[in-house]
Amino acid sequence: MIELTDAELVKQCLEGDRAAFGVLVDRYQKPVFNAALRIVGNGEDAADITQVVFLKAYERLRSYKPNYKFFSWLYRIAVNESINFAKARRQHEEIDDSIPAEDGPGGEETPEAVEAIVEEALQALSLEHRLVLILCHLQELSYREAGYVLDLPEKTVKSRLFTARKVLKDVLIRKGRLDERRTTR
Amino acid sequence: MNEERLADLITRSMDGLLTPSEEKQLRLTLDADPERRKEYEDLVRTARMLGRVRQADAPRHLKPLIMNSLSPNAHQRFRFTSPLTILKEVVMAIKDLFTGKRKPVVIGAVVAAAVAIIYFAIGYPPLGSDELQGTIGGAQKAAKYRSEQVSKKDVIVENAPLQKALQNDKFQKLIRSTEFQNKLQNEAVWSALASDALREALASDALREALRFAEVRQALGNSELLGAMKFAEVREALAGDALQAALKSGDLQAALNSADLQAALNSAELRESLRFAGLREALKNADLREALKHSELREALKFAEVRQALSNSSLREALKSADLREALASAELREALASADLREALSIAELREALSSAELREALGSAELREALASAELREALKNGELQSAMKIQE
Repeated sequence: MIELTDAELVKQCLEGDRAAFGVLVDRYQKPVFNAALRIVGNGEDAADITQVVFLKAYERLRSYKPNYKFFSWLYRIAVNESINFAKARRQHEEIDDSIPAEDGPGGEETPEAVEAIVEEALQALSLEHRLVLILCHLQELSYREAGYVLDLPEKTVKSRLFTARKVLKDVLIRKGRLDERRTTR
Repeated sequence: MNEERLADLITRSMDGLLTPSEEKQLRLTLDADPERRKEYEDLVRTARMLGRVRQADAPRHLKPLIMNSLSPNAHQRFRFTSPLTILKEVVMAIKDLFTGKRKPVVIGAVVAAAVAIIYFAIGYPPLGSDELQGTIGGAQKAAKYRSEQVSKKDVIVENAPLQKALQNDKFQKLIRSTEFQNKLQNEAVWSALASDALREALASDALREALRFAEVRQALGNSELLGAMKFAEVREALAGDALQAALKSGDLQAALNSADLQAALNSAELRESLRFAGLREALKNADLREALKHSELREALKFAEVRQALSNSSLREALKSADLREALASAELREALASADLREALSIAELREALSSAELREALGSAELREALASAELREALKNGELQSAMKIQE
């Protein structure tokens, strides 16, 4: 079966085909959910945000211009929703030193444990640093796409990404979380 | 090399975007400065740790929730209240209630959703819990306030029974329980809650009355039946006075837990037929529920003759025969089913088999033949292989 492009699916949606929107949901619910999850740090809130993102996307489908990829447009909505949510909840805007220090060298870390460490460190970053890491690193958007989503020049995205990585590195080092056994796959 | 240029090279290096000449330039710079090299290596480790973060799966209930919330005219105008939003309102209201931040008041869809969630998730409150009856009353009273969208600016009304219900220890314990949280992950619950009509159905005395029965609540925990609740006919049937009366029968309560019946409720023919008391009564019978998985029978339910005939135990037993179910498509046979003689005669396997003959079904239009079928001799004769062959040859 031929897989329709996002643009074709959007066109079908606008012609009244709800099933076409279902295909877009299938295609992007996971990355949108993950982006929201990393921003707000809570699965239930991320699910709620994801739902709102798709419903708003459906509502605004006519305003979508195919100059950018559909998922970049979707991410833009997702990031705005997540930011609004995070701000409303007054989440961490500054580096949070509340992460407990490591107890000391231990045995082999499970993937889940490493994920938890990174997740914890991410949540300690400022929102703007967290966002750029999520989009460029975890969601693998290009600098240009991330710039579109964040409404920033490409150059700013790059410099912010550099700073964000450094801050994250410093948080991990300060807490004794950055060592060889966690950085090898 | 200035800091800005170095930062740019490091960033693009980590993203695999350097040209060979840029890579060489970066390597030379780092080789000349051990401190910078150490920092670069730490950044690479940080990036590797980030790379170990896996993508979480989106919750299974998310897509149906989204699709059920799409408005047909959403491209023109956007208004929605998702079940999740409603739940959030409910939970926040409850939390605020317990922490004293908000007056114990909730309205409209919020109350109805709370009631729905509680009933559908765990069949609560238990029978005879007077303290929580106020919740139901709240839902009913709130119906007049029900709107498509619940927002902070919505009118909030004082509701003493609801207040009392929400402050109930059992309710407080309930909403914090793992079981409750787990049940909320049930896709079918969310799909059902997305229906305004379902929430309205919950305002029905009859349906709520029916929910007092453990068997009914248990049945409503089944995803197939919950799925069928999206059909107005099913909700109406469940909320109907006749069904309410019937639901007091243990047989029918148990019937709702029948997988056959739950699956059959997805059939439009059966749902439409549920308005007939005779059929609902007949549904107490396990043979009939089992037979309903066959589309021929469900289609035949639109005929009054068939529904009426279903009260006959011989016929229900006979419905296990594929020949008979297929034969129900014949108008002659359906009309002939009015004859008690014929219905009794249908207990004979040979006769049911012989119904595959169009001539026989047509012949059943004859009162004489149907009466003749009452004859033990003829029924015995029908077991004779030669007679059966003769009937098939005629076909």
